[in-house]
Order: sequence, then structure tokens, then C-alpha cells
Amino acid sequence: MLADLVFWGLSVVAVVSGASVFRVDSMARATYALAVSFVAVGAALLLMRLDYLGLITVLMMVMEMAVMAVYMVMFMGMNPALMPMSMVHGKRAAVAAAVTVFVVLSGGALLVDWPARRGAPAPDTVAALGEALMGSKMLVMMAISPVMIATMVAGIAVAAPRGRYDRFGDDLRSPAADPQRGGVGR
Amino acid sequence: MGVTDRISARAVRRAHVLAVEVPGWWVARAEVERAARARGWQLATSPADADVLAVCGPPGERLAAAVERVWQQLPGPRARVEVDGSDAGTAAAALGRAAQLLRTSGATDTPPDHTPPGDGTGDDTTGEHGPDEHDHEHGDMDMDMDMAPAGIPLAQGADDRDGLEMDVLAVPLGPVLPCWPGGLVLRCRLHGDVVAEAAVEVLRAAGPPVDTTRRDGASTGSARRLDAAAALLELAGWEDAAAAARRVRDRWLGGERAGSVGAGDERLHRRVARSRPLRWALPDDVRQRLLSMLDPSSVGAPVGVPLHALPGLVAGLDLAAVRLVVASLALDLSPAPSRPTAAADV
Amino acid sequence: MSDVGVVEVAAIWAPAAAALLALLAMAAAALDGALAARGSGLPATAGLSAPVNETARLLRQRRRVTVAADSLLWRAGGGGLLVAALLMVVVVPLGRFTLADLPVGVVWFNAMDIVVWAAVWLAGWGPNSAHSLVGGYRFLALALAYELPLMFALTAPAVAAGSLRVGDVAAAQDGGWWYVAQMPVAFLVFCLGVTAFSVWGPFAPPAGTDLAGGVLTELSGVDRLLFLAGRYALLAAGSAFAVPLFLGGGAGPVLPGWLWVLVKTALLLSVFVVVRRRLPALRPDRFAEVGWLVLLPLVLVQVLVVAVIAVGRG
Repeated sequence: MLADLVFWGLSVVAVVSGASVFRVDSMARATYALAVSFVAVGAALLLMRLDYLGLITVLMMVMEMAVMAVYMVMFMGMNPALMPMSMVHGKRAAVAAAVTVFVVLSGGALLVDWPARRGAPAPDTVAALGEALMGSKMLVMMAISPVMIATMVAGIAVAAPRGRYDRFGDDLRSPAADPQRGGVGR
Repeated sequence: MGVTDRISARAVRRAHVLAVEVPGWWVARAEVERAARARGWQLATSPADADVLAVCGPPGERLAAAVERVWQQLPGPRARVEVDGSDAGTAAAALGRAAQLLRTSGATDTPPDHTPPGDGTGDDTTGEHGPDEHDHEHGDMDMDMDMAPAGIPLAQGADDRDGLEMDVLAVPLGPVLPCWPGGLVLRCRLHGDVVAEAAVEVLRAAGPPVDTTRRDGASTGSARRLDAAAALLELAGWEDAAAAARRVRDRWLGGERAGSVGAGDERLHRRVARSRPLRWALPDDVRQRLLSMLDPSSVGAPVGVPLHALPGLVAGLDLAAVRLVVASLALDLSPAPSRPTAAADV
Repeated sequence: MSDVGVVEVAAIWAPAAAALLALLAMAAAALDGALAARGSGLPATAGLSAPVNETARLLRQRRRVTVAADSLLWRAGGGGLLVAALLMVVVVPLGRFTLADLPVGVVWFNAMDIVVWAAVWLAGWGPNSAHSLVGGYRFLALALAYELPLMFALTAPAVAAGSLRVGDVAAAQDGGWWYVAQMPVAFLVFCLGVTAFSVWGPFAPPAGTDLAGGVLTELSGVDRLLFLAGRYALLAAGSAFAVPLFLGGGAGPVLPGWLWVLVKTALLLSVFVVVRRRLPALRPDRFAEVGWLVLLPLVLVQVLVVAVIAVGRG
């Protein structure tokens, strides 16, 4: 009973703060409203005894929102950071699509004949979830993540406006000409 | 009655003092600092942190206006005292008056509820927006020009040090700022926290410094360079060394014999010179100037940089580096006819 | 020596845990005040009453409102530090007792120290002041550099103990060397992380003097008290968490487990407080390279070594 109440409360918080992202006037408020929404979702995961997933959701999302606030102010700061702005385009089509999808999904959730539960949840729900999602491909998934990080880092290094030749000169030997020295003396 | 009084008594035991240095009156400010520390009081880092505003010396017209703006920003309970002499007794007496005022202030002294947006001198809040990159591609951005949230106009964009277009924020540094030469105003145009350009001016005092103590020039000179070194070490975040520098400065100001103080001076110099974290943290030229400030064998005042060269020195640096550079220059803004200062004002 | 395992106590003990944290925070503040007094030439005992006097002063001080400030975000940021610290100690076992025996206690601590990111940036953004904003951004710059090393430093003891439960990590150190000796790099990076998320000592530029107080510029009264208390509370909470993770939990001769936890916490906390005055501040722009190019590889190698040993053992 208490768990049900808490779950409904968290759901309301998640939806309301998610919607308020589009209603508030300030980019910082929008970002942190989104953070509140994610934290509510993470807390709901904790209720389902998916401890690790719930906490990781909270952790990663708060960290992301902190960094996203910087980007939101940077790219959208001039006008919309503090002034009311309409963030929607093509209103009519969007409203129609949104209402249709909501009706279909909620109708499905309410009207589908869900099967009865067989057995009990596994003792380690997170491990069971991982097995179900990735199964025999676990090793592949774990190998992919460092490859992804390496790709991201390589992409940033390639996209940087000032490369090694700009910094060091053509002979790559002179001391780096940076506007401010880094901490390691690179 | 009992609880409020007890809380007030405890609160006054640890008041925070914001010492306003009028150009030329650095000794008075140093004495106020010493008296504050002797009482167990702290030095405030900003007006919001301060309980006591101690104006050291007679400010000129514009400086007085700046001090008034800062006074408006002190949250109550607060006290304001004037220190008109450069000796220890005056400073201690002024702080004693301040303590008395603090104990009895409270309901009688209410600062205004809202500070108006800053535009000129004084370390106050300025209406602004965060650092931005402005993208010209959106057509509907033309209407930004007349938007003004809370009455503060939106910032305009300009190219910054790295060629990106960023919003410009006008932030004046000084004239009332801890660890900053009193009376100096550096009007910076910031992109983020990088200073794009700066304009310097000095807000003058209403009168020359009054020094009733009989200190010789060498002691005063040594105290001056240690005062500058203490400010720079405080800005670098090394509190132990800054406190040591202040102690040696107070010993010079207190008229101790040169031999005994010189040993402490030399110890401090060696300690700071040996420190590897400080060598890593400070830019090279700043560190060299710091070491020459601490060197007991350096004679008199360091070779000064003319004020009009200051904007060129700080352009392209971020705020931390600007503060360090200005502190390392140990600018002497005393009103003296022989000093080749420029960009003067009333 | 926990042979029984960790016992979870009822939530009614939460105020007692909060009081204990407050006590540790005040002790840290008193020690800091004493060291500051000694630095100014006064006797050290003159500074011991610093927390009480400062609390009285701040309670008496009026709050400020700046123009066009985002009050909601500002106050949320100011109080967020204390909330994060209180939530951190929920998983720390005091001997055999803990408020919440989460199976993922280590990740809980990590999540709470991320909350500090949000809190400090909001405290910088809220007052609509140039210096505060620069302070908030400085914190994010430092955070991006120290957080990943801290996360891996938290992973190392968990890998060695084979569990994310804080009680298990403490119990796994029974009978062998404590993890502080087995994985010193992880311990050092953890300590660095604790001082960093407490905006303390070398990591104080977000609240630094060169920014007229940085994030603290416009704070006064109760809000300032909450922020400053939150810094000390985070320091205490981080020290308390280091005990089960690296210092063997309640293990030790003669004294009962809970007393050992307090003693070890107090010792580590006093080391943090003493270190503050002796080191200059780290510039965020220069620390970024150090964090990513020096600390992160070191701590990754540490985790690799620990993992190889763990695999070899079982």
C-alpha cells in the first residue's frame, strides 16, 4: 500500500516536472526540472528493487543535467535563458501526434490482457535483468564501451580547432603556444 | 532577552571587517587588519560577508560614492567606522566603536531590501547573463534588442580571445575589493571569465596619508612589500604563508629591530621559494615578482609598472590570473606629485 | 571484528546520526578556527569557539535578495550541500549499526557526491552575480577533472571485496591488510575527491578570495550558514565513508567497533583540516589536465591491479 502511494507520487512528480521543462522561463530551471524528473524515475526504479539501476540513473542524470545546464545557457542563453519563449514548432501536427500516441499506448496498457505472474522475482534482480537484456552478448557489450569512449575522445581530438601543428609550430618542437598554460606542461 | 543578548555577544566576538583602503592609506588598513585579528575578528571577502565597514582614510568624492554603494550592500546588523590615523591605537579604538555599534544595532539599522543593479564602481551585483555563444542563424533572434528581463538589458556579443563570439559582460573590479589596491578601478569587459579588455582609473583620496608614528623608511618599505606579498599569497589560496607574511609585516610596522624581524622575513622567503605546489600554481612572472617581494635584500619599492600599461597586461587573461597579476605588481597609488601615474580622476 | 554482520536500525535513529554528523562538522570547524588563530598569532584556544560564534553571527545576520535572482534555485543550491552530506552518512555503518544497509551503498555515496555538482552550480547561478557565476563554473571545471578518478577509486575496494555493500567491504578487510595499504593510490584519490567535493583547501577556488568569495559572494545569514555548514558536513561524511571503505571499518583492539569508527573518522577529518592551510589553491584550468592525464590513468592501473589480484584469488 505504502509502496503504491510512493510510486504514484513519484510518477506524478516525474510527469509534472518533465512537463514544466517546457513551461518555465529560464534555461537553468528547465534543466533542473528535467533533473527532478529523472531523479523521480530513478527513485521509482529503487522501489522496484532495481537498486543499482535506480541509483545509477540518479547519478548519471544529475551529472548530465549539471553539464547540460552549462550547454543550455551557452547555446540558448541569449534570448530564452530568462525570457518566456515558445519552444514548440508545428503545434497542430505535434499535438495530434502526441494525443494519438498517448491514446494508443494508454489504451493498450489498460485494455491488453496482461498474463498472470508465474514464479517469484530472481534473488538478484539486476543480474537477472542484465542476463535477459544482453544474455550471451555480455562480453561484446563490455568490450564495446571502451571502444565507444575511445571513439568519442578521438572525435573530439580530431575536431579541435587547434591541432598539434598550430600549437607547436611546424617542427613540433617549440614550446606550445597556448593562451594559458595547462597543468601538466603538455 | 537573555538569549538574544547572548547570541549578540557571541556574534560580536567574531565580526567580519571589510576594510576600505583609500589610496595612500595602506598603513591604516594594515593596522585595522592587525587590530581585527587581535580581537579574533575575521576579514570579510565580500560585502555580504561583512558586519563592519572600516573606511581607512578620507575618500574623495567618487570613492565616497563607491563606499556608500558598498555600505548599502552590507546586510544588517552592521557598523560603519572611519579610521583617520595610521597608528595602531586609532585602529583599535575604531574597532572598539564598531563592536559597540554592533551590539546595539539591529532593529535600528535596516539596509534597503533590494540592491539596485550595479553599473559603476563598487564590488556589487551587476545584471548579467551567463557566458554564451550567440548563433546568428536563427531569424527570430532580431527581437532580442529590446528584451530586458527584470529591467536589465540583454548582453551584446563580441569575439573573444579564441575567436568565438561570446556575450560581453562589463564587470568593474574595485575600488572596494579585498586583496586589491584600494581606489583602483579596473573596468573589465569579460567573455565568460576571460578579460577581453580593461580600462583603468584611480579614485583618489581627499587628503594625504597622516602618519603619526615614527617609523623609518626602510621599515615602512619592508612592511609595504610584505603587505603586497601577503595579498598575493592570500589570492593564491595559501593561507599559512599569507598569515606568516602578515605577521612579519606587523612586526615591521610595530617598529621591531631590523635584525630580529629580518630573520623571520628570510625564513618566509625560503619557505615560499621552496614550495613546489606554488611553483605549479602561479604563472612564472607572478612567482618571480612574489619572490622579489619576499626577498629581504631587495631594496625599497619594486620597479613600478605605469598604470596605463595595466590594461595591456591583463587583456586575454582570466579573472584569477588578472587578480594575481595586479597583486604581483604591488601598485602604489599614493597621491604623490613625483609619481608618474596616468588616467587620474577626481 | 564484525562476526554478526551489519544490523539495520530503525529510521527513528536518523536524528541521532544527523547530530553525530553535526558534532563532527563542528569539531572540524573548531580545529580550523584554532589553526587560523594560531596563524594570526593568537593562542590556539582562542579559535576553538569559532563555530559557535560564527553560527551566532550568521543567525543574527539578515538574508539578502539580489536583483533578478533565481531565489528557488539559489536557496536549493545553498541547502543542497547539507542535504547531500546527511544522505551520505545514511549508509556508513557505525560499528555494527547502520541506517540503511543498501546492497549498493558505494554507488549511493557516489550519487550523493554528484548532487553536490548541482548544488554548487545552482548556488553560483542563483544570485545573478558575476563572481558567483564564475565560482559555480569553476566548480564544474574542477568536478569534471576529479569525478572520474573518484569513481574509479570507489570501485577498487568494491572489486576487492566482491560487493557494493558497505558492510561487506568493511568485513572483507578483516584478517588482512586494510585497503589503505593494499590500494594506496585509490585511497589518495578518494581523499582528493573528498576535499574536492567539499570545496575545501586546494579545491577552494569556487569559493576563493580572488573571486570575492566566489559562490559565497552574495550569501549571507542563514543561507551562508547552511552552505558553510554543508562544506564541513561533507568533509565529515567523506571521512566517515573512508573508514569502512579503506580503514577497516570498526576493526581495532580494545575499543568497541563504533568507537573505532568515530576515532578513525576524527583522525582523517583532522588531516583534511590541517592540510587546508598548507597548500595553495589549484587552478581549475590547470587541474583539468592533471585530473585526466595523471590521476585517471593512475587510478585505472590501480583498479586493474586490484581486479587481477581478485580474479587470481577466487
